[in-house]
Amino acid sequence: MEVSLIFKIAAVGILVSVISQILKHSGREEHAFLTSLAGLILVLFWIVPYIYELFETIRDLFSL
Amino acid sequence: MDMIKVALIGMIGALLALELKGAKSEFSTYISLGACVVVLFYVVARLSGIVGQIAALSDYIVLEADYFGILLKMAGITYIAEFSGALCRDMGYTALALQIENFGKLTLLAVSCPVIVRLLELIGELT
Repeated sequence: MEVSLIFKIAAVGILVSVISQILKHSGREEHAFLTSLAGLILVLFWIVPYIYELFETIRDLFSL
Repeated sequence: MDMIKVALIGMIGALLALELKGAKSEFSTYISLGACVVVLFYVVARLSGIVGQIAALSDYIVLEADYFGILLKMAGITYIAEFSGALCRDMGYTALALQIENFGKLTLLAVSCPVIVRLLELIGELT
């Protein structure tokens, strides 16, 4: 599951940059901004549980 | 075997991040964050093995238990401070990175204070 996390983020990144380019050229600036925001939230939605789980294991490991 | 996997993950993550830096720069930091998290999983897995063995080793060496705990705590604090500071510096916010690292150093000092006090007591007993 881990390596595919990086590929998923890359895929979302490429998708968002393509969509925002299209929206920019068709004159809708704010939609482009909204799509990149949605991409950001989606990526955060994936990464935050990983980071939380990681810091939990570190806390248990080092008995912080 | 794990070493090869970690190296590959790092390189793939760096290449993808580089490619996305042109089109959409904030996604390159997400990819580097994702790659860091994945590599850190491997690091933590390896580290827990080492800590387990050291704990088993400490049965032979009669050592006050909490020294080993303090050492571990300090290692953990430095590790997290370095990780988050470097990530902030990657994104270009060196001021924030310095704040995090300063707080890490202060916490280290706070954790190691009892050891210093005990050392001075020991010296007092000797003289």
